[in-house]
Amino acid sequence: MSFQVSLGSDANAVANATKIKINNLNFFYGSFQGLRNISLDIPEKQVTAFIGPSGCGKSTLLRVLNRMYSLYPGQRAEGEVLLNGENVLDSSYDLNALRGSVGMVFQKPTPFPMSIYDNISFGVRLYEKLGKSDMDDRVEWALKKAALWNETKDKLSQSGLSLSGGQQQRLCIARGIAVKPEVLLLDEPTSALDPISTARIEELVSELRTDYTIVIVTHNMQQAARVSQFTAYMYLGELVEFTPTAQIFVKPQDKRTEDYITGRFG
Amino acid sequence: MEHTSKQFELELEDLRSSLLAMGGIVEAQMERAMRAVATNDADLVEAVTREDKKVNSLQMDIDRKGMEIIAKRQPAAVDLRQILCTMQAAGDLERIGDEIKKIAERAKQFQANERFQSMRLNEMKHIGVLVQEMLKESLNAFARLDVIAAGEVIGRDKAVDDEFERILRLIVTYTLEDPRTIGAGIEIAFLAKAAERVADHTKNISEYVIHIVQGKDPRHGG
Repeated sequence: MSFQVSLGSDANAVANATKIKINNLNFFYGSFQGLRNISLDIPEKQVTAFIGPSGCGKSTLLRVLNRMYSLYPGQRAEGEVLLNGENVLDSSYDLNALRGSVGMVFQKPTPFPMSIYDNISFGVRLYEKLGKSDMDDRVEWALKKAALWNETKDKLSQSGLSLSGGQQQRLCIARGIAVKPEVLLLDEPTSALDPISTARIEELVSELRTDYTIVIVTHNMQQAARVSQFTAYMYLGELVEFTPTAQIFVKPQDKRTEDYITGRFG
Repeated sequence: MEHTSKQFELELEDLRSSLLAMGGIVEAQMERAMRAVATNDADLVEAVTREDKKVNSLQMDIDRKGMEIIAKRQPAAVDLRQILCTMQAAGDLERIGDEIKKIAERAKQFQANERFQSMRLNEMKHIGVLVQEMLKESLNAFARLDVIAAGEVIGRDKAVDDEFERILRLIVTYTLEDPRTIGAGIEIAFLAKAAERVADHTKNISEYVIHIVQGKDPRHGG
């Protein structure tokens, strides 16, 4: 199935250029097919949300975008995922470069067991050789971008694990953007957080949109409604509907989407 | 398909039946008001005034229930449209109630000469029947979420507008012939105008049916 987005009346959903073009993507966990023939254009510098019931393939799709699945034997993807026109699924595509340009934040905060400063600088060192003052600037920049600077500037040498859950998640986002990726993948980034921390992360996502292409997987449909400009509804490994968010929550095109978002199913 | 949350299902059903109960009262009010126009029965007028308070409080009730569901459930898509349109329909029914009250109160003061006596009985009866049918059909369409029936009600509004025009022309003709009838002519014009407004509100209610079911907004030719 192929989806060309019609913008409808949503003023927030700007028809930006396509950042990631997914063509006829199939994904297999061994003999089990997790994704079926998915085609989707993810627009640049917009927030795209994947929603759907558990097991629908939304996290799988997210994990294909930076080839996270290649860590596991027996998992394979067929088709194309074009990032800036190049197929990242190609075995010749540099995996390190891919992880540098497509960052990821997970459901549970995963700070490294090291200082707040090193949590940020660790990834940067893998890609760039920066002097001390340049690295200091980069750490400060990333923490400011992630709205964590004011809370951590006086304790950068303390362990990342000493932060609260919400702060840890923002630290992970800071770590993700410190290497200056083009795309940020968020896999249920607030499902383990309290409402205030959730609101902070959502606010952050809205701000980061001006610089990054963001793809977010969420179980919280109101969150998708609040933070994204485009929403994809997936079911049983298929893409059912991909439309501007304002449209999908008021008048979805597909009955299955309507049943899901109104709580009649799933 | 039903909601996974049965409680949500019950809340939506309760909101819907409140609106239909309100519609039932408004229908009975319209019937009383039109009888008052024909008979000058003071008891009918008093009943209309009394029952209108019920209509007003039902509207506030529906608004409160609708807000509570929105706050509690964050409804989306068809549920959201249903709740918002039910609240708007309650607003229209309340306004219909006000127009009916105007009709009843004017009927009470009515002192017509013979010619206007016949106009009151014939012309008002005719526009009254048209409007009563529209009201009934729009409420039926809302109850059954029947898009076809709703479309028919919307189509009938033009006939009421034409009828109103015709009554105005008659009044002008009569009052030109005999200026002593100007006062009574104005009274009839107000009555007909109120009936015509009721028809406009029933059209709105029918448009909500289309918005709920199809998700498109048919207002203003959309």
